[in-house]
Amino acid sequence: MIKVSKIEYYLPEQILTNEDLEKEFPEWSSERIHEKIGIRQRHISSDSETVLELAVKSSEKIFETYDRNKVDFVLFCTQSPDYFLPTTACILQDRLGLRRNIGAIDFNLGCSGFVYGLAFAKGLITAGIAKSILLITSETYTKHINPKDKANRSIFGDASASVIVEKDENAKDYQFCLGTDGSGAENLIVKKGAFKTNFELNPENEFDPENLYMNGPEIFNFTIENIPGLVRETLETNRLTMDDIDHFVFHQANSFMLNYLRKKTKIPAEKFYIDMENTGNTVSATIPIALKNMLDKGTLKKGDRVLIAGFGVGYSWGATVLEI
Amino acid sequence: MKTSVFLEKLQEELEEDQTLTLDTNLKALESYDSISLLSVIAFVDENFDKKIDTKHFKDVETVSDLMNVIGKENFED
Repeated sequence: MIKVSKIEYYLPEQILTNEDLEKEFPEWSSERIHEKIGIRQRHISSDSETVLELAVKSSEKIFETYDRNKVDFVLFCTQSPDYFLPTTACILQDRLGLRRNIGAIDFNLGCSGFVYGLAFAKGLITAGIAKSILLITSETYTKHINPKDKANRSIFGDASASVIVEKDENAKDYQFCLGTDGSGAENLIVKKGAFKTNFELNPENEFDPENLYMNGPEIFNFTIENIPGLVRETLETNRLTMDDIDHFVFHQANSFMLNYLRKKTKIPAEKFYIDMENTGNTVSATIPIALKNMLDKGTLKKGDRVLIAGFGVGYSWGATVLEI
Repeated sequence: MKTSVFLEKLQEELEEDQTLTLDTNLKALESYDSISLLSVIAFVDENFDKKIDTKHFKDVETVSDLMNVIGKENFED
């Protein structure tokens, strides 16, 4: 059906280390941050580095080894677009010098975005609408975070990932399992900045309404309740067992959450990927970054079967199986 | 679960050097921060198969308060 034939990513140059955070917040220990959430540093976009600029960089890496004229659809996932309008993907078509007889759209999702992008790509390819899709997950959550918010500054980093999804007659037809629960909207939210006014503020939200607010414990509850079931459902839907999967790559939220989800889902540690040490939680870009790093290290080999699962803001979640 | 076992496990989960009692004020512990809340959620899910509504965390000060949130019926002396 489909295959992911190219993966590249780009990280902004500016780096925020745990030691930098400890200097600003002396009560915050750099070692404890690393031990608990598995992050040593994150990359921070400068004012001029928007999701579009990051996406140009990650996509140009793809075109070093892939003919840009083959691309006939652009899917761009972000929650921090350059403009309300026009669509980021449209501007990107011009910036990358892509053909003009192609489709291009943005879609607004966070940590589940990569899985949804693959689902859209599969739909477009199997319906005969497109053959070679440039799927981008580019995110700059750090622009939303209040400088005094040490918890969220410790977790999130910026990044852009670009992948090519193509038709492949030989690839197996794996199904997607998707989920949505808007009742959790308030637990990860940037309230102000769009058009809603007169919104209620949570008493727990100590920063400005245009800043990112995350109720971490409640997000953790959401994942405990939904993600082990999502993994089981994805295996059952695809008539697979845990033994048939070579690697489990979840959205890299933070290592504490991932370790607990792994334990609860009973996934063997050696099949479970955790690595966000140098990037932090880059939202919709974590899964393609993980896949690329695994390919580069040789831990992910051709023919390996990977179960990927994305989950978070919305709430929104999704999983599928890929053969690389 | 026996209360004494609970106190030991919670201490281990929070990586706290100080021995916990029912009256220990969790919020006053040096190791109790935003990550500790995640540890407590994981601990309660694993041992009691119970979800803690995070709204209740605001009112949890002592170990005994936490046991009330988990439900007294889950403990023996």
